[in-house]
Amino acid sequence: MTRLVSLRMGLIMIALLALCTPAGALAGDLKLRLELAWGTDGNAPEGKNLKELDAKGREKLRHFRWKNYWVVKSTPVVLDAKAIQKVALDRCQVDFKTTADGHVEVKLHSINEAKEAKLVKTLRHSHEALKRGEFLIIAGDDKDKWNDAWFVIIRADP
Amino acid sequence: MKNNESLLDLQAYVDGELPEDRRREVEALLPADADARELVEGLRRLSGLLRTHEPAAVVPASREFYWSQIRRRIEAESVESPTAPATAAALGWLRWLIPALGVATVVVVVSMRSPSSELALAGGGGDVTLADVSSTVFRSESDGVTVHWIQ
Repeated sequence: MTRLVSLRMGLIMIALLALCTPAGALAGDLKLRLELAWGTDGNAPEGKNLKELDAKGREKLRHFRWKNYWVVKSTPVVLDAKAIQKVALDRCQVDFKTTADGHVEVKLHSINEAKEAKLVKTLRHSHEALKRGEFLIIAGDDKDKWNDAWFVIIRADP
Repeated sequence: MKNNESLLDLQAYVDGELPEDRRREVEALLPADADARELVEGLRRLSGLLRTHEPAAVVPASREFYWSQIRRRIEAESVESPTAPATAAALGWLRWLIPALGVATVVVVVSMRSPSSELALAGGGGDVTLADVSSTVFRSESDGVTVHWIQ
């Protein structure tokens, strides 16, 4: 009888430990691609040699109405579960942090002319969802060019 | 072509809204009426300028985007306002108290292990937005995409 009680207690302890184990600890490093794309109905600016967003990216943006999406910058990011990664894009910076609960925390900063970073948006997204191929996109109207928009695209890098 | 009705007819003529017989009458009058001709030409120029230069008011996203926002808000409101009658809740509360206490204990234990944060659930599959500038969230599970549109 005592042995049975001990067995039950052991099982309960294992279950509690499983519940309390941070999912982030189970999540391995993840290779991401970070892209800054420019949505416009116009052509790419001359002399800048911008590439068009790939078909998969355009498919994810099909709910938006712009005809062209030009990639301003594209860079790989390998998520490190133990460190915050800061990646500079054109006039903005994206910080990545793996959280203990299995999410990726993304902080988008705008960079002004004095090179000062100002936090624009903080959000969390499922590590697993990104791994499955889901796209996380932060976007907004282009303040400099009327009728255009910018897109910060985060996706798993195969 | 000086009275108000005639002027309105000229406007309708330029817009292509006159009935066929009235359109023919106006066309027959125009060669002899310099003022009417001038007005018609002016209205046509104005119409052309408006068509060329008026900014197109186009919604930046598709109807799916906006519908998803409406659905999300409806779901959020229905979660906030439970529909069960108060009497039924009063009768059954004891039945739920003990399991709820158990769940609460587990939540407390788990939250003590997690970093504190000012989380606000943005809905769907573990996607969460933290507090800073406002944004509209569009999530399509079938398309595998989440878009945070900064306001």
